[in-house]
Amino acid sequence: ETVNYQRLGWLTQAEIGKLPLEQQPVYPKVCQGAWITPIASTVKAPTPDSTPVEALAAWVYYNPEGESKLNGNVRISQQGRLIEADNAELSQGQNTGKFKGNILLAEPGVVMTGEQADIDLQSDIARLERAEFVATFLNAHGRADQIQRDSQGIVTIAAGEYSTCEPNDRVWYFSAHDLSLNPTTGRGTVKRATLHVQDIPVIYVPYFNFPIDGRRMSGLLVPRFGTTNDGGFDFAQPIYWNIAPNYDATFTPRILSRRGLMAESEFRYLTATWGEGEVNGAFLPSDKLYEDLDRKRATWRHRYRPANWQLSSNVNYVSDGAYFTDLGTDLVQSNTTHQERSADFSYWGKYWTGLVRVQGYQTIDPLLQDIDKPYARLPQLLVTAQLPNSSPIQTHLLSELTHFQRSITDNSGAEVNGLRWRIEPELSYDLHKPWGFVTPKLGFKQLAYRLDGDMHNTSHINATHFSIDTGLVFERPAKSFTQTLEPRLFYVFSPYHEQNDLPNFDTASTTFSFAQLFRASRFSGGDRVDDANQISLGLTSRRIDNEDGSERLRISLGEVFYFRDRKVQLNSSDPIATASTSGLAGEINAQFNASWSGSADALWTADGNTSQFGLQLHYLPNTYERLFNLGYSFRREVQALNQKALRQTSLSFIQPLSLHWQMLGLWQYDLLNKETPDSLLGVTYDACCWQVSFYRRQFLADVDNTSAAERKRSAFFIELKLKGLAGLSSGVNDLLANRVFGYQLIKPDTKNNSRF
Amino acid sequence: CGYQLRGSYHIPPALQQLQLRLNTSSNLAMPLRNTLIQSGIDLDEGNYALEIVSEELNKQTTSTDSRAKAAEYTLYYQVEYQLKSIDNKTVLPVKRLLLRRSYQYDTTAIVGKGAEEELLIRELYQDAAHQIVQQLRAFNTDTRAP
Repeated sequence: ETVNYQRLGWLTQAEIGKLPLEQQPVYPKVCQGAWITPIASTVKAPTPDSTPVEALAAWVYYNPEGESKLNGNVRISQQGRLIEADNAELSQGQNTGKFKGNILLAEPGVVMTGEQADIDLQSDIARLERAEFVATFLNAHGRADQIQRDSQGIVTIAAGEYSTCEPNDRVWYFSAHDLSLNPTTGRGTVKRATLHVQDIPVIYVPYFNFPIDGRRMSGLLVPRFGTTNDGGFDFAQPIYWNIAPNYDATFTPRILSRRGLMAESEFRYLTATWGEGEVNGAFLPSDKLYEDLDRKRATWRHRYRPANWQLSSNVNYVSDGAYFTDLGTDLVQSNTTHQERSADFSYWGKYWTGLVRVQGYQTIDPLLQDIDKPYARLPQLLVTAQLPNSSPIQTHLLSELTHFQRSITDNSGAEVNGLRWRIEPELSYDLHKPWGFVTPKLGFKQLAYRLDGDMHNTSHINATHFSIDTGLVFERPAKSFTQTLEPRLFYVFSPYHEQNDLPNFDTASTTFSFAQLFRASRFSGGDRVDDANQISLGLTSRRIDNEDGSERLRISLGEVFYFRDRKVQLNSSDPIATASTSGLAGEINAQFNASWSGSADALWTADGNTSQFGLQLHYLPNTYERLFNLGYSFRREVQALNQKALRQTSLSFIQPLSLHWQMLGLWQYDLLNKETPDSLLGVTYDACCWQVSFYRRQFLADVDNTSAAERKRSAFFIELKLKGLAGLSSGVNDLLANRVFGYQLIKPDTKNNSRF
Repeated sequence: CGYQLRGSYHIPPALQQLQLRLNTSSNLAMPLRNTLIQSGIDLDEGNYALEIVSEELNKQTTSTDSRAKAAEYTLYYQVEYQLKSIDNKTVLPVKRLLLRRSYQYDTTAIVGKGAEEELLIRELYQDAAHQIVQQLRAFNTDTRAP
């Protein structure tokens, strides 16, 4: 029995091409055609009794007292509704009708054809015998012995078939004893169904339900599947529970064949009075590959934000340092070393902001000594204030009182805890003109400590510093672009204060770069007061497109000239920095055209050596079908900057090979250690109604006390999608989103689902 | 050599009065407001509105050390904006700006590195504000009349 798909609205690519441009439907390129229903899915259908009905036929017998008859080319239409048939009999009052022969029933985005139909024109209840149907919002079609629609719009298909494939190339279809599509709940259910692939029955399912739109509905989510060389098969089936409009939960049983059974869960909430948040937990009892130890993880995030204040928490726990490498689902967190636990209370006033924070960390890297672990802030009180800038005179105030605590039990150093107080008022004169700017600034810093255990162990520093930041803007207009030349000078003076005995609670050296030349401090954090008498000179040139004002190219080069040695260091044992210049720092940012962009940065020390070099090149055409990224990072070990040696390249790409095939790759290579920390290669086959991806990942795990061979992990993932029905996923998308520049622009559907 | 001191901000007369539409809780709000005012733009009323359509800040691990721990992070800040007339018609279609900053990570000084990240994020907002104002300069009311 052949179905007349033309009548249902199937148009091949060639036929669509002949349509006027504005009538051509948007459809995936991998499909050989598309469904066009007589009434477009965008048309709004009002309630049946609110718009007039128009009835046409070759022969009409109208009887206002009894049954009316219509014969030959019957066409009953209304805005958003259409019925066609050979013959029709309408009941008294014309509320219900019996239709016979070549029936076509259309609504926005839906078409049904059949041989016989009973339709209630008022309530939309309909029953079709020996029918075919198309629903464009699902891209689905099928046929059935009987299709019934009740007054709620629930469509029940008895003894039917369902597929989202092209009608002339049905790679898969479901034949079901009973299939129902409920537009009110956004869910389709299938009973006693058999999945056929290429007409061969593959799976029998007694019951199955699937989403027919983007709504949150309780049920099974896409399962996750992968296999790794250490854990074996890894299969997880998330079960989603839509508890209420403002609460939901996902429970995920997971099997790792060589480790055991695991449970993961997530609970999200949204309250009217005290904010929103989510709780996550995971538990694997007695991991067979991990000395039969329990492995656990938990997080709690909460946000409550009334008008001008916020209360938030971020609490994370994990049972061991290898958890994320062994069991992490997003493949990303494995390179983290700490888990934060913090609670913040923030307030924004008109001129000031306040923060009360308690914050601690769980260190999960077993190789970090206690002396290298972060301090807990119990608590931190921070106030910053700024007067409005109606005049060039600017004031800024920072004041902070924090209690720092860290216990040392491994003899890696002396335990130093205590209170730190700092207050930093600043006064500046901010003069901006089109041709340049000048900002002299006078600042004062008070830094004081009261360390625990010894009431006499207090120390404080009062320091004054002065800086002047000034620059000029020269322009040279040309026909299509404007070139600028922006010399900048920054002078900072801050006298030396002995700080050898001060603890280091929260301070680090900032990464040296062109931007760093024009910052007043070489430290981030609050424990050090710079000793500086130095001048920074920089030159920036921009090429600005006259057409749209966008910056096509920016080149910057600059250097610091030191007039004194920098005796203040993070650790009292660090050598005094005596170089008279910083060496040259440079930076290039380029947007070559709509597709190509790049950036480079470099730092050359005074003796002419390159101490830092970075290069990034991105190719991302705005068709968002392919991308290519290349990166190179080089760093020489520089003790004065606390900089460790590094030489790495990274490469990533997404490249369509043909209409259906796509290749994707990621390769990170460590030139110093001559190894590959991470690599991934994947291929995707994308067809109209299904998609399959294979990924192979090889990476290095950080597992202490293991041989080099055991560091090498490999994993294999399969992702499968029967579009509009079901699928199998992996965590690969999260990894790629974190590592591949532009990935989320090409695959926007991989972005995290919006919350509520 | 043809370079001369910039004589004015070259803000088109139509935009010298401009409404700013963005979420006030956005961290871009303050730097953008200040940069617009510094360029001589009056933010009270006007026939056009600058609307920040979307903002996104992402952090990627760009290098790892020999123990597979993060050694370098790159922050990507993407902002999309458009110019609308007062009757809510788009006069300058959505433009996207993408800025990045990298920093070296140190697993033994994570709190200080967190402070550095905050500093870089502030600089990203400042840079974005500067480039948005720069692009407003190219706006031509003659060819793009509402």
